[in-house]
Amino acid sequence: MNLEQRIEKLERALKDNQESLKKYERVSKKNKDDKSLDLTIKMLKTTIYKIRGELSILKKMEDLENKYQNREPLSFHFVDFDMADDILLPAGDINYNNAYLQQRRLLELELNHFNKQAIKGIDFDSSNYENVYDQAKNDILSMKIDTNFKNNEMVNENINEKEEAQGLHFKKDDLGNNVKSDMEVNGSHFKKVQAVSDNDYNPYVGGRHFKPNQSDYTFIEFEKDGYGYIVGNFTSDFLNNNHEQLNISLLNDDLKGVKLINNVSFGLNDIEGLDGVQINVTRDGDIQVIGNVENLKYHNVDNKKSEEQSKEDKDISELETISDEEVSNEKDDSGLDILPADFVPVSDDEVLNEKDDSGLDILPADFMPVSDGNVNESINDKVPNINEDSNDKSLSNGAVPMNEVPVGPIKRKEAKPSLIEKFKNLKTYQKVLIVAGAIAIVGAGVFVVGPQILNGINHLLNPDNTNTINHVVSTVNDTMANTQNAGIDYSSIGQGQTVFTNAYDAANNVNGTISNEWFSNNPLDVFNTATHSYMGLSPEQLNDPSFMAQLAKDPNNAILFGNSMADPSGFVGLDDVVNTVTKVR
Amino acid sequence: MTNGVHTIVEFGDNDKWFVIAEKMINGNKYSYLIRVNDTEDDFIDEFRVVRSYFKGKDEYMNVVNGDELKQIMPILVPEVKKLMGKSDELKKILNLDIKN
Repeated sequence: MNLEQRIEKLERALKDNQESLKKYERVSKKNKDDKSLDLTIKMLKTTIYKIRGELSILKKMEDLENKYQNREPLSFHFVDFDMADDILLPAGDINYNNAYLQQRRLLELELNHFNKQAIKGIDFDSSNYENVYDQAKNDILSMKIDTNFKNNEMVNENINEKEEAQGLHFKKDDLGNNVKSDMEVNGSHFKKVQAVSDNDYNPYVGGRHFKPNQSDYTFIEFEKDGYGYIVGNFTSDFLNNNHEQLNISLLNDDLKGVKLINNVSFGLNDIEGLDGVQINVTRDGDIQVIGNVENLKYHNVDNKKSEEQSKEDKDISELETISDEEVSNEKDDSGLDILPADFVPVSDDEVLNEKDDSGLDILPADFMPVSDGNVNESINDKVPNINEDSNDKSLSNGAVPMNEVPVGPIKRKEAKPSLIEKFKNLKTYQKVLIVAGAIAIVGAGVFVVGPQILNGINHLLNPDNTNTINHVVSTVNDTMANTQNAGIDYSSIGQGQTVFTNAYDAANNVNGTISNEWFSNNPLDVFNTATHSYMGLSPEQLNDPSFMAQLAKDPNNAILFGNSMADPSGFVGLDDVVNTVTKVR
Repeated sequence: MTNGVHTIVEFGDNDKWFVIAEKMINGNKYSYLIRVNDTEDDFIDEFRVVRSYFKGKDEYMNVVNGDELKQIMPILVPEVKKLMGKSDELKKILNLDIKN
């Protein structure tokens, strides 16, 4: 079974398990006194996070393969004397293949470790297993590279310029530039689809939905003078093959033809053959129709989400025990996603909200959520004024501001020495302002996870390691005492203790279970049930007795243990922990 | 070896940014940017975190927001962690009356 098939199989298994979990949880909620399903639910959750863990590694492998195939820069962990850092090697670099090998080997090691396979002949059961694993990882990370090359010397540079410029949706058609000719299409409603845009090829305009991307689209449709128009970043091929899924309304109307307008660029675009109508693309990726048109409709499609949603809907109708009231919009939280910082636990009255309120929701290590429409205000300063007369009911149809501002490739150059000097000579308060700027971007909320928790290949990237090459933001009066002599011995936490699957139960000391042999006593972070957020503590803090004792005074604090955030064990109330583990090394 | 710290990144006309920090996190390249004026000799009080992706030789950057931003920020700019949770100090800094 190759990688792709394996991923497919696991994704299907994940979906099945998630659906089963939902069903059982629903039934279990209805009959709160019946505990017979608890074990099944628990096992399902375990299975699910095992699958997710493996999936995340496999997807990284797939990603690596794709990058390598496309000759995109690869990350390489570079050790030089006592400095360690991750660097990006372009395809022409003499060590590009080494980078690929290193990443590949690391991922394979991760996979074996995650699946508790033997490493270098040492079984998982052996007490030496973790050491062997760490050593194997270090060996790979210390891979030597060839440093005997001139700077910027490119070797084997044979990238096909034409190929690299094309995204998924912009394969050049056999018929020529941007698909200009008439085409017969599949499906009865399409009579003709032709692209009318004359613009120069510009693949990355208009926000994330305009990236060649198989799952997300933003596009608009409208009618004018008997023709239908679709404005989107597709090729006509793609449109012809997928028009059913795209739910295009105008296909139901009687039209002389359908025209595809692709390749729109930022700002106002004229449409060939159509007077009085323009397409405006804002810096945030909104597309707007300026001018009078009929049946204007916006589409903002996230294909992955809508697939899952329709699947859920199907299952809901099959269940007999659930009344219609309880069939609600369910988010796909099958027990193991990290709660966002603003999460509010569900009360008994709010059953309909179906948010999974177990604090054990953990994001897989490589989870990169796309936030939903919080545009950074400071970026949003170049939106052109919209024509007042425009038939722009479009904006109320849900054109969502995009988060990304891809504007074509960036240009990079050296900064003026005077500017660099200026930066270095910033007064302390100004440097602090820069950091505060960072916090302002994020918002006052607490960060979701601490840095040591992000697992994966680059977990050696220790933010407190001031030896890294890129540690540029100057430390502002670092007074954090780093006491090396005292520590907390967590070994008494573990098998046989009362532990909890979520932070709220832990803080309230309810619904505890006895931990089994898989419970890891490695502290990961502290979750506060009053602020509903993780604190993002460093390993030093977690091992600092006085620091933790202070935190323990707040009864709302629960400490999370586990191998990693991708492989958590469970929670214990922090006050309980501190009372138990007052031994100092 | 790629190191874009202290370079200027240009997104377009008068859309220039100075790279304060750059880090590989979870296999992705993140940069912390502060805006500069058009003549590239002074800073403008705007900040942005971007994630790079590549097509062949070209580098593109997408702005990072939301949960992803909260995840990587403490790594990209370690000082941020220390100021978190200290809202008074933070308020003071953000409302700083620049006299010194």
